[in-house]
Formats: sequence, C-alpha cells, structure tokens
Amino acid sequence: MIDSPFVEVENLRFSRGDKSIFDGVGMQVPRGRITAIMGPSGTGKTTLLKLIGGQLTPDAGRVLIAGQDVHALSRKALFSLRRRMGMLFQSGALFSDLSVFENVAFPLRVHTDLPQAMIRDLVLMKLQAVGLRGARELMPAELSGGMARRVALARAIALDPDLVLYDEPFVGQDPISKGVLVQLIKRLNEALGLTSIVVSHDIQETLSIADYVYVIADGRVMAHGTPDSLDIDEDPRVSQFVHGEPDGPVPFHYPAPDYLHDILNLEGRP
Amino acid sequence: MIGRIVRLGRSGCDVLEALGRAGLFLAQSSVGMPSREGCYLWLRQMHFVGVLSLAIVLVSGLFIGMVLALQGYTILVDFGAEQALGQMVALSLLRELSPVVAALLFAGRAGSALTAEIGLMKATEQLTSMEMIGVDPLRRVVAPRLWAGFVALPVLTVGFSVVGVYGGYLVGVEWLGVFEGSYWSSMQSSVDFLADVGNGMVKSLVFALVVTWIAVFQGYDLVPTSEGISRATTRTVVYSSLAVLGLDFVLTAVMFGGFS
Repeated sequence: MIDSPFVEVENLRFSRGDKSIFDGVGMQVPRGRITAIMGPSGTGKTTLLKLIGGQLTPDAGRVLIAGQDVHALSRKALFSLRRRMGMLFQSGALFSDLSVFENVAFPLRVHTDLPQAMIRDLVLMKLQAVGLRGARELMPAELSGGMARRVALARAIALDPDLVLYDEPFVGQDPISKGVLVQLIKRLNEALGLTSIVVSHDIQETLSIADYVYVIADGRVMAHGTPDSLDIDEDPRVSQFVHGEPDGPVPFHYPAPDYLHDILNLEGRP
Repeated sequence: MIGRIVRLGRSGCDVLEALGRAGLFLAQSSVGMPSREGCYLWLRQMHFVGVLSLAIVLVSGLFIGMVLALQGYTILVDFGAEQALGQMVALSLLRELSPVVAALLFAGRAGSALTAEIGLMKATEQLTSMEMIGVDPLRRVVAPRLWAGFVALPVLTVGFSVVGVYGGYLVGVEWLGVFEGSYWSSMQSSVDFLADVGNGMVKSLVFALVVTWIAVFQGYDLVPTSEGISRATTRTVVYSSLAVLGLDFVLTAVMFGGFS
C-alpha cells in the first residue's frame, strides 16, 4: 500500500540533555492516507511532530516531506514548505487577540492577496465544514475546548494544505466532540485528499480512522501495521497498549529502588 | 574547589550564550523592510506601548519637575541665586532625569507587559502555531513591539521634560515667587540644543533600545510555565533598570565628562 510516501522519517535520533528521546525512528507516511502515531504518554509523540514540522532539529537522521529534507532547508524555504502543512495543536493555540473569523482568515491574509470578499467566502466555507459558521464573531476565550479545537482545525486547513499534523486531537474532549472530531478528520481527509498524521493515545478513536499505525515506545518504532494487524499482534508490549492493560511489559511504576528498601529507608534518603 | 571553578565557568558560558541568542534575536527581528501590514501592527503597538504609558509618564514628569523646583529653590535662595532656578530645572531634566526616569517607568509599565504578553503567547503555543502557519513570529510579533518601544520612549521622554519644566514653573514661579522672566530667560540662555537636548535624546534612544530589547527577548526566551513567566517579567524590570542606570553613567561620562 505504500506507493509514494509523502513524508519519510529516516533513522531519526533526538535527545534532550542526557535523555535520549528517539533512537533510530523510521517511518513512511503514504500520500492521501491517515497515518497514526501512537504510544504511551511521554514517549515523545509531540516531539516527533515538532521534528517533522521542522521546529526541532534532530541529532541525526532525516525527515523528508515531498522529497525535501526539512532540516536542510533555509529558514525561508522552511516557511514556504510550511504553507503546505497544517498543524492542529493540542491546546488549539488560537490567537487570543483575534476573533474566530480572523483566526481562520489569518493564513489566507498573510499568504495570499485574495480580495476581501473571497477571503470571507473561504473562511465561511471552512467554518461551515467544522460546523461553527455561527460562532464566527466569538473570541477564543468564549469557546469550549471542543469548539476551540474545531476552529483550530478550520484554520489548519484554511490554505488547503497537502499535509495536516494532528497533535492529540481527542485529548480532553467529551464523547460527543470526540465523535465529531473523528468524523471531521476522516471526512476532510477524503474530501480534500489530504495526507494526515494523527498523534494520539486514544486507541478506539484513532484505530477507527487510521489507515496505517506506528506504535512508538522507548524511542523506537515498536510495531507498525494496519489497525487490524495490530489488534492481533502477539508482541506483549503492543497488545498491552492496544488493549489498554494497566500493567505488563510497560511498567505501571516509574523506575524506583526496591519498595521495602525505600519504605524502611535503609539508604537514608530524604 | 574545582567544582566551584567549573560552575563559575559554566555560568560564564551560559551568560555568553544568552547574550549571543539575544543578539541574533535582535538582528533577525529588527532587520528588514516593513510591509503595509507591519506598519499597521506597529501603530497598534504604539498605542499599547506609547499612548497607554502617557498618563504615568506625564504625571511623574509633573511631580519630578515640582520637586526639583522646590529642592532647587531652598538651596539656591541661600546664595541669592534663585533667578537661576529655570536653568537648574531644565538642565537636570534634559540631561538626566527625563531620559532615566522615563526609561525606568517605561520598563515597569510597558516592558513588563511586553514580556508577559509574548511569554503567554509562547506558553499557549500561539508562537509555534504561527510558525507552523508559515509566519515568522520574530517579524510578526516581536518586530512591531521592538520598533514601537524604540520610537515611543524618546517621544515620552520629550513629554516628560516639557511637563517637568512646567511643573518647575508652577512651584517656582506661581508658588515660591521667582520672577517669571528670569525663570524662562535663565533657561533660554543656558540650555544648548545639541549638547543638552541632543545628548538627552541620544540617551533616551539608547535606553529605548535596551529596555525594549530586554523586554521582548525575556518574553520570547522564557520557560513557558506560569513560574517562568513571573520570573521573566521580574527579570525584565530588574535587568532593564540596572542597564538603564549603568548605561546612564557611561553615557554621562562620555557626553559630559570632559573627555572630548
């Protein structure tokens, strides 16, 4: 199924201070599909998106988007590549001094010379797609979390990008808005022919829309495959994650000295 | 002992690195042709940074001028030289007090606000999302604020001086009874436009650059947590006050210290 990958990640290494986050991650994101990157919290999924978007620079390895090495580009070329990408942030990251309408219009205003009337039409179309045309006059502070994320989604697709990066789109949403977002991501992907990368640890929602899934843990790709193949994966770590078991190879406890030892404080720690 | 030397060296390196980052930051955000959009953003910031600081700066100017006249009068009158009050008020304001006090007030009123605003934009990922939209936040967010501060403070300083001289007039002439003609004529005969007004404005321009630079850099470079924002705002006020006072000494030494 991988014909011409739109995004390629090759042998990516990245560390923060002494802590290694990625140790040789490789993945291929096919054009026009939804690719999910999953893994337990704290495995650096958001960091991976930032590496793909060129906000962070890896210690080694490459990220290719449409054949261009993201980290070898000049600042100017990187910014023009980013016009072809949309990113949905976990917090929405709407500009708090602009209204909903102006937030969605922002990418259009800065990157195009379209007349006012056309910008209005485009913004209303995007807002209609996420069901918030009626909320255009509101300020970001007046929106609920789910609405803010939908506005952010409208803004992310305002320039009709080729690639959309979703950072934890389902986190902290009530079941209804979760369902709405799942629908939206799927529908937009089909209607606009987008390539989507969804970073998430919400298994049900993500597996229901993803075409291909990468599971990362401990700085590596632990498993990858279609949602169906992951469901029956025999690897205990994969199965623990996919089926949401609290303890297993991925330990419940953060690394700590022996419990009895610690309780009796034999080492005189604070 | 070795450990201490290592720590000293490391903190020295950290300071140098931060200075380098700040320098690059200034170069990247301030160089470049302004666009029409940029002019509009700059005007908006002129309102926030300049117009909204007007009240505090002018009121402070009035009081400083009044105090100067009061203090100056009690000293000058002992020598029978209260006719020179206008000269004293004008020179102290133009050469020292206006640039310095206006810059300190500006750091507290506008600088801290700039740091907090940019910091909060960073903490809520607005800066990152702007980058991902393909807009450079250095040019869109930082540059208009930097230029607004650079222009606003010298203008505020002029206002400070004008109101201060008038405050001196109120106390000296209207209240203490110094002859009005001598108040103005002593000022007119002793104030040199280039040496006094000009040098004061040079000081003000330097302070404007330093204070605004510190403020926007602290906002852009902070750790995006609530504690990080509070620390950065404090640092803005502390660093810019120290920088203003320290630079004032250096500039005064060069301008009025008789080196030339």
